[in-house]
Amino acid sequence: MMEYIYNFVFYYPLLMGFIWMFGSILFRLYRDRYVLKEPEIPENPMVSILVPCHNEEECIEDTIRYLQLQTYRNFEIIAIDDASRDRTGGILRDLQKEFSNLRVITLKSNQGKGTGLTMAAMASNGEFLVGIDADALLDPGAIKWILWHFVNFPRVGAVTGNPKVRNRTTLLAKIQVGEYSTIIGMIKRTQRILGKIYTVSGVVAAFRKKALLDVGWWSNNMVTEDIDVSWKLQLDKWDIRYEANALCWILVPETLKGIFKQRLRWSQGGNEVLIKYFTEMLSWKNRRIWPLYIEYATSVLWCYLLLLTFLLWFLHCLGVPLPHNLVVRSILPGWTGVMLAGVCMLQLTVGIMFDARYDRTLIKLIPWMIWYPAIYWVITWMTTIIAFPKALLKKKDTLAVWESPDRGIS
Amino acid sequence: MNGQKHFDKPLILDSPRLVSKTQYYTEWGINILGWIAWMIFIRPLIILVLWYVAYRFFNYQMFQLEGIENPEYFGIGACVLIGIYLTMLGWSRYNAWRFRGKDRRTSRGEATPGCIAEYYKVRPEDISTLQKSKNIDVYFLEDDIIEIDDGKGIRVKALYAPMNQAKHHDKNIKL
Repeated sequence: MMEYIYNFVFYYPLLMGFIWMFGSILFRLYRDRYVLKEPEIPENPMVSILVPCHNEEECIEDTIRYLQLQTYRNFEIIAIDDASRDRTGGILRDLQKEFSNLRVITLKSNQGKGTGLTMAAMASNGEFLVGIDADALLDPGAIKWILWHFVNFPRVGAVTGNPKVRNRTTLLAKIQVGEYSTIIGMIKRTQRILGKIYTVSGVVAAFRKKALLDVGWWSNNMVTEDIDVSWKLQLDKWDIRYEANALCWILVPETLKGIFKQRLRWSQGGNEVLIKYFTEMLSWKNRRIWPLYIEYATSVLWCYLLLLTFLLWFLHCLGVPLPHNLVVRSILPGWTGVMLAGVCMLQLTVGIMFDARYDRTLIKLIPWMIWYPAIYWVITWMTTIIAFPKALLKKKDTLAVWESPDRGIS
Repeated sequence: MNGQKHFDKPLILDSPRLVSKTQYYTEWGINILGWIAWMIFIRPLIILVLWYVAYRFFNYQMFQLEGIENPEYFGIGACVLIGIYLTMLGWSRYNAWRFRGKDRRTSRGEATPGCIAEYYKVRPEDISTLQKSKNIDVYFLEDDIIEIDDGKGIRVKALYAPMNQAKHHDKNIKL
């Protein structure tokens, strides 16, 4: 019994590591562009950039100013002030005097990101909406790269960009640079190759307004509205694309508490989606999204089986008598650890190889990235263990409001 | 005893409290700098030692323990990985071939002010007015109703029931 569990605990990350690598290689061969020249968009459609804000006085001005550097010129900015208690509203009004393309929607009570985006979409002039976080800097060429998908493929409902970490002062931040480039980027590339994407990145994601209208906009009761809307769109037969050239410079947490809170939210969001769309998965017409669902459900199962392995080993150490087939004598990895570490390094190399063409600066951080499995596996494992029951017990009508995240020390 | 009588102070003198904070941190700083310099000088040696340890560990785990004792294990593993790669490649190429040039999923049109107005149970003119407004305030009232104020005297009530989408599609509901 324990042998099967132990094998699963070992083989699953090994197998997935190879799948992400193979997917990235195939993405590079068949989906990536070889020429990094911004595409021309002759139709010149109006684009609305939506920036939800809640107590963002420290960063909102930089975000709005940086947006003005876009090489695509036909756009408006809609900042959504979600009942901020700081100077966010005042700063936005001051910026309006300088930038005629800036509009402000003020929510008079705190409603959360999903509602904020929905209100902005209602008042937007563009058929294409680009959502970015209030502390994120959208790369000047990003809109053109994103628009290319929308104007050429009428059933592309969303395009997700490539988040790049800006703050790199601390070890925790440096690790996340590697994580975004290797794990997150590789997963998106593989999913794109296989047809369905688990989630757009909430920090930089663009949508076709018609697609959002068809699925009832963003949900206001899901802790991660980006995961939920991705599933809603794909279940409604809208396509989601990943555009690695659409860069967005983001701030990541630089404290363990901050990272833990962020990952707990992500895990809970994923688990909420797992529970919400279970019945939809029983339908044959949704078969193309099954692999995504099964992969996520298997990951959750893996987390619990790893926990079980630890618990059984701990009980054995305490001298608690256990049935022979449930005894775990050691959790120290031997040759399995050597192989996992080897695959991990290989994955890191492949990830950096493909992502360094968009951001050369990450190469000098390679020596620090050795620690990324600690972040990805340990924190993700711990947060999933906590998040699943949280998602299961959550009241469906609870509003998903927000608080400003940890944005690092820089 | 006599010794204690003539020398009643501690043998070892260590009283950090007597040192000023500036001196304390300066000394620590110098000490750390020394360690850094030392680490830099012997870095090639550390790397050599680590490589040697890694080699010994790899050799022990893979050759002396069970790893290499099962060569068929690696054969099976390699076959599985090649199988996965070929399956992914095949699936990707099959889809590219199957749907190439086919306009299978056609456009569903655009989200016009009329469509959006129908969803929120307002007039299309109201949506057009909102689209021209520079500043909009939104109030969340009871019973899934919101009130939108464009700051120029126009206030519009709209339906907003994200948890009850059926209301938005119910043609009998009018505000």
